[in-house]
Amino acid sequence: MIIKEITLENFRSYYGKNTIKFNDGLMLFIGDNGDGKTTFFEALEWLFDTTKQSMDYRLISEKKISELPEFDSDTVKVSMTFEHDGEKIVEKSFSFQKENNQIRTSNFQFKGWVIDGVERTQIQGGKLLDRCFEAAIRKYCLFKGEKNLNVFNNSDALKYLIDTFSNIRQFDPYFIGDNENFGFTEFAEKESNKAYEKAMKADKSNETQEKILSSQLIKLRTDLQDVRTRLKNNRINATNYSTKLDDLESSKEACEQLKQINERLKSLNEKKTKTESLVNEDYTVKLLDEMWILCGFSNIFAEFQTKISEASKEKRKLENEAIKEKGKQEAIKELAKGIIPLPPYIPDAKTMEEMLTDEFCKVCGREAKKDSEAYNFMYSKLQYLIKSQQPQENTEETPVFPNNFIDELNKKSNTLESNILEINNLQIKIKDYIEYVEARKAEAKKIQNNIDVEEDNKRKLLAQNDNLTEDELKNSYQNITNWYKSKSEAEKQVLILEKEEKDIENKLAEIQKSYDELGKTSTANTYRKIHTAFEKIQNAFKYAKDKNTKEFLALLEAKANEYLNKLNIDDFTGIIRIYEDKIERKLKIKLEDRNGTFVASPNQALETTMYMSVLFAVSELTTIRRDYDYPLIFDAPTSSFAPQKESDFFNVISDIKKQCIIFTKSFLNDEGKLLDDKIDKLHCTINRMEKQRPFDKDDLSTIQTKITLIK
Amino acid sequence: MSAEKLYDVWARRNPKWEIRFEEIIHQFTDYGVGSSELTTARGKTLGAGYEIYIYAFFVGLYADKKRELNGETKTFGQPIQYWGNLENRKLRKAYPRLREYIFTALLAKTDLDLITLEKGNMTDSQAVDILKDTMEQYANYGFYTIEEKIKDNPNYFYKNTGFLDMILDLLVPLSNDSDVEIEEL
Repeated sequence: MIIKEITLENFRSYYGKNTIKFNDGLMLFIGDNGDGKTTFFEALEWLFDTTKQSMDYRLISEKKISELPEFDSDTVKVSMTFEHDGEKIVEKSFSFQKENNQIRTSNFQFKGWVIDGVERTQIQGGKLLDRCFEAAIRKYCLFKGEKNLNVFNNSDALKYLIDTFSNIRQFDPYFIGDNENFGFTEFAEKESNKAYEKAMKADKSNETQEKILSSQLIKLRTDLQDVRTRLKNNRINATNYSTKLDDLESSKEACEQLKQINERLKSLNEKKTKTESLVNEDYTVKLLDEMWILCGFSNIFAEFQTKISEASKEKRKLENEAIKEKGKQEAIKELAKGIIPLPPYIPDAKTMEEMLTDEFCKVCGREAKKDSEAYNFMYSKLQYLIKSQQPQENTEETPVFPNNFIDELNKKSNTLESNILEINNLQIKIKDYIEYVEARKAEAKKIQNNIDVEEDNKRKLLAQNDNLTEDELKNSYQNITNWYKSKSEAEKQVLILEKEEKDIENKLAEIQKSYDELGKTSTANTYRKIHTAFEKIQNAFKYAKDKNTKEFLALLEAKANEYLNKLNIDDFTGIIRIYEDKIERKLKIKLEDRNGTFVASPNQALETTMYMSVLFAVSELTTIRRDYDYPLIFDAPTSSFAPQKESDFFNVISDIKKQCIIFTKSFLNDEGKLLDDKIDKLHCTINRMEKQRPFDKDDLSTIQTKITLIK
Repeated sequence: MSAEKLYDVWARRNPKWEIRFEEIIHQFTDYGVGSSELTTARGKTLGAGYEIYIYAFFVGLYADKKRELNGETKTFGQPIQYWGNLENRKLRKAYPRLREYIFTALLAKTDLDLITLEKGNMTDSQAVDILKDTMEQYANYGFYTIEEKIKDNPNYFYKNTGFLDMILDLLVPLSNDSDVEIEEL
């Protein structure tokens, strides 16, 4: 089966009719998270499900619902045109109607058409799909995520594969090999044995001995049956506990990873909070609280200072002029008397006191008796001198400047000047601060990107551990001790019972031999010979069936290893081994190195390529056996791949002659833009999936996926 | 001789603003809102009404453009002397000194004859009237500029840097500062 065309109509984010053409070989659908990759994949899953009639209203495009007028109806449809012995179409659909704002679904249809030239023959879709793309193959066709690639985790999957695709089914009429159903050789062996034993019993000559031996045989056969039943139960137990422990092993790893992711997230969040706390963008408040608004104030303040200083200068000038004016007037008063008096300090105070004591004027050489005019003149002159030498008291004159505002303003100027340097630097300070804040914001954004990456890792991890929630993952150790104990107990029992089985088988063979010896001499000898012949034929078929199985597995293993080598360029690949687990009697796949050392936990990318190689091998082998190819469809199979490995991987796949459809978010950068240089190097068809813009991130009814062919 | 300082006389005044700017004042401040409600809780950029007034004043001052008040006017409840005092608003700092700088700016930019005032040929109250008038005219011009800006882009002042940018745009850029000086030298 080769897919030619797929149409999605009103299926979730695929609003309206979306038709995509397919070709053989690799086809990539590149889209970011939420761009509709998984939805496309799930549309195919829905189409390929031939078991139920699902008309879930959640499959309907929200956008279509929001636009649908009341009581109007529309259709959800997924159809696929494919090539399989000529062109065929399958189409699944249902109608939906809006009634009182409720959505009602109805009219489920699953149709198919076989196209022969211009003629179209209609056939039930499920039947057509089952015929061309059988359920057994579908198991190996659709894969979501990386973990689900190991289809062989399911104990029956590999057996199913061998049964379906090797030739061993051809043995079924002759040899089956289980205790419940028999093929012809098993039936013949049993019936001939019955006839032989019946004939032995009929021979009276050996009656006593036959009775002893046959009762021993019956007992041993019962015992063997019993041992085998117990063995089977213990194997089932061992398998169950082993599966549980395997799950736990992977969840243990996941648990460890989750712990690390959570720790990293915690530290990143703390760092982010710290960085964000350094971001204060309240610039408007800072204009006032930090007085940033004064950033242009320097010139204005200088203007103020100049003005005050000039006023102050002017005031002093005017004051001086006033003083001078006053002094001038006093001098004029003295001059009016016609005599220029001596300065008060001539003669000096000492001389004056001496002359008063002596009652004699030593300036003019005359007596100056006490109370005489001359004496009184000298006395008053001394008093004047003493007074003139003492500080002058303020005279009660009207001041020139009754106010002192200029002084106040001068003081203010001086006080405020102490901050002027800071004000002059404000513009630089603001610029530096904004740069600092922008740097912190960039840092916080970078941290947020790292947080997004870790959150994405966490989601991936939880998605890979399908049924385990985060809490379950954290608590999944509780039963480990019990499970280990039960597993080892079951394994011990298997070993004991296997030995017991062997012993009984040996004893049974021994008794059987004695019984056959007795038979040789009996009338039942012919029956013995017939039984022996049938037994040999049965064993031959058993051997041939085993050989066939081994050959198929060897071929599968060889093919898988071919693919593994191709997919892992320049890397450790190891060798895939498909083997039967002795205890569990179950086929398993493992990776070994050249020396046969088991690779206990290959990295996710290697494990993914290992399972993909097996899938490619299965696909190739089934194509050889069936003459029909079928596509492999993967949703995000390479999440764990490093970018280079991923590019190599896609290039190798594009060279494999096989229709392979892969949905991936590879080849997108952090901003969700296509990495054109890497895309140029790919040799395959590439479609870009993205949300049609604009959309409201909180409104599902605005989301619509758009697919564009880009290469 | 006046017993009071000129500053104190000025600070007791309540400058007027045109009633048409009441909407802008409401838009960015708690003007007319009970003091119990926090600015942040209401999503307002500024606190008391006078804060946008101070801002408008500086816009006019840095643009060095005045505009006479026209029509009906209003005043704030608090006189200048309380502007910038610490309120019970979280995460805010008091800025009382800013008042003094505003006062010095008014003196620098007002044609007031200090000698006449000093001589007592003019009363302090008359002098302060002239200062207040300058203040009102600068702020009035600032308010008109803010109004114009909002008309052009209603979201302009809701950017973190909106208010700051408008102030910085009025100044001579830092890098040009030194060039100008060199040329002058």
